[in-house]
Amino acid sequence: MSKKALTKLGHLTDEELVKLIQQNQDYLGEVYKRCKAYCIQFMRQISSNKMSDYDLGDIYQDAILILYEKIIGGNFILTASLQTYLNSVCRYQLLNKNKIEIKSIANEIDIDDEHFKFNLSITETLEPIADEKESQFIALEKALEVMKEAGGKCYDLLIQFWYHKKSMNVLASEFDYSNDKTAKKQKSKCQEKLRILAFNEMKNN
Amino acid sequence: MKIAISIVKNILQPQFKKDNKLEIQKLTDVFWKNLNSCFLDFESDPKPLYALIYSLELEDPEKVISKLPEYYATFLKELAESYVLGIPSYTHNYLIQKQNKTFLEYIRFFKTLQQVVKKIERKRMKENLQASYDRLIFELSETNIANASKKKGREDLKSKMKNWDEQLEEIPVVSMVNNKREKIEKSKVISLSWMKYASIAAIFIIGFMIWQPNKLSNDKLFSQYNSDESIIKSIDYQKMITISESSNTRGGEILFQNYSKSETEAAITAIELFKNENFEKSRQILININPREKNNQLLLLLAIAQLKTNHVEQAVSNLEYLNTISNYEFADEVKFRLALGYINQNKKRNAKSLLVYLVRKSNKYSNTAQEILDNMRWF
Repeated sequence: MSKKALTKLGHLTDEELVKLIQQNQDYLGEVYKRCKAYCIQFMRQISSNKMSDYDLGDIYQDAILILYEKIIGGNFILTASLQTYLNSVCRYQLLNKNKIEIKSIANEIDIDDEHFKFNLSITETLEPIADEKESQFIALEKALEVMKEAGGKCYDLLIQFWYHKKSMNVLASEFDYSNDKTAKKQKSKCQEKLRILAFNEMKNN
Repeated sequence: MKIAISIVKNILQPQFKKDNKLEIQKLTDVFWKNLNSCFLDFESDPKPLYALIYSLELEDPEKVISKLPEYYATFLKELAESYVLGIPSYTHNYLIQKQNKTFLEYIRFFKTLQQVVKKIERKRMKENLQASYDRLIFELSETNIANASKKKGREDLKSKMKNWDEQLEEIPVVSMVNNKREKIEKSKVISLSWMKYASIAAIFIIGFMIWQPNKLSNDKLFSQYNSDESIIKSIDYQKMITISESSNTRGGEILFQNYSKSETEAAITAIELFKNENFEKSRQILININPREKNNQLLLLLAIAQLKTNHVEQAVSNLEYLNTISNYEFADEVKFRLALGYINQNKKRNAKSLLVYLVRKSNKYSNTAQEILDNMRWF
């Protein structure tokens, strides 16, 4: 039985989901739930090393993030099903990131089963975080934490802009600003506030 | 170049428009292109930018020129942001080649910010993937609300029980099983099931009802209102002196009804002692002159003195007798004192009916009677 039918939003097609994710990241949860079981099973069967469920789950979550960052980056073209895409991303993670030896799949899984298909040309990985050890990075991380604890809109505004790549129009509507110009002004103020907080952090350490 | 021109335009156009003498047709595409070029070199050579602004023939060009460093910083900031966001522009390359320090610093800041945000948000998203699905399919039906309320109610109750547990654990309960072979060295704490909790709750409620912390015990009620001397003083003693002018006596001596001279003197002494709250002596004197047989007014004083000196049974007997007399001038006092006597004897029903009567009658005892009823325990 298809796992797709088990989810409440199983009626949505992959294309529809991709579009919806651009508007609301919660739809990523549907993809996560819909494809997880087969993807984990796929990874378990193609890897010669026995990996824990926790590790496989972590690889799967990374694959979901890769998909999300691709979608919000505006450069995602769905050439196969989301299940195939995620299988392929996970396979590549196993091979490259985790250095897992991939078994000859022909004998292990039914490659005609649509849930176990994968695409060898998909070689996407989660872009690593740069300069994590840099003092400015650490200071900014702390400054953001301070900003979050202080409450208000700044923290969410910056997260939505810098990670989720929301436009000023969308931010204006989500944060109840009168228009995109006001949202832009507020974002600039928040960034300046953050810069000062980070500067003070660096000065104190 | 396009992005840079757009940024310059967004920053400077509103400033130019504030000037009364601005001729809007002078703000052509060529003007903005030139302005952008001049703006890029503002740090090294600001003069071409000044010249361009003067060419607009504004009423107050200095107003804009004085703020150019601020506008320039905003310009570089927005350009750096667009660079980090991956928007391609020739201007980015130009400033990088020129090693514009401010621009490079802004780039570094935004790049780091982007990475920090990415790190934080990736972590949060990974942790919330399941929750995001739950949010998506969340439907608030009436059943959900009812279940949530039930759950909350149960949790609150459980939390209370936890507190009770903590209290219970402080009191070790020895196991009731008598095992002859093993000497029970450690005390045990009884594990409480739901039924036990319910029983405990019931015990608490019953205990609370028995305890009735806001109510006074019979003894307290009696002592509180029996010692209320203001009520004693409120008795109209003049009413008591039922004068009987003896024809045998000279000058019409005042005698109490049915009393001889010496008995009257004794009665007067008793009244004086009563007024001075020496109830014991007053009682003793009154008993000797036998008011029950001879004088109903003095009998009331005796009954009150008996109540005051803890001879409640005799007091109640005398008051019950007085309460049967029709048109008795101190009927309200009798009922009030009798109610107190009944309270002392734990005859609450009798006391209540008398007090209710007094409340309804609206006399000087009404408020006090109501007060006693309010403070009286339910059972």
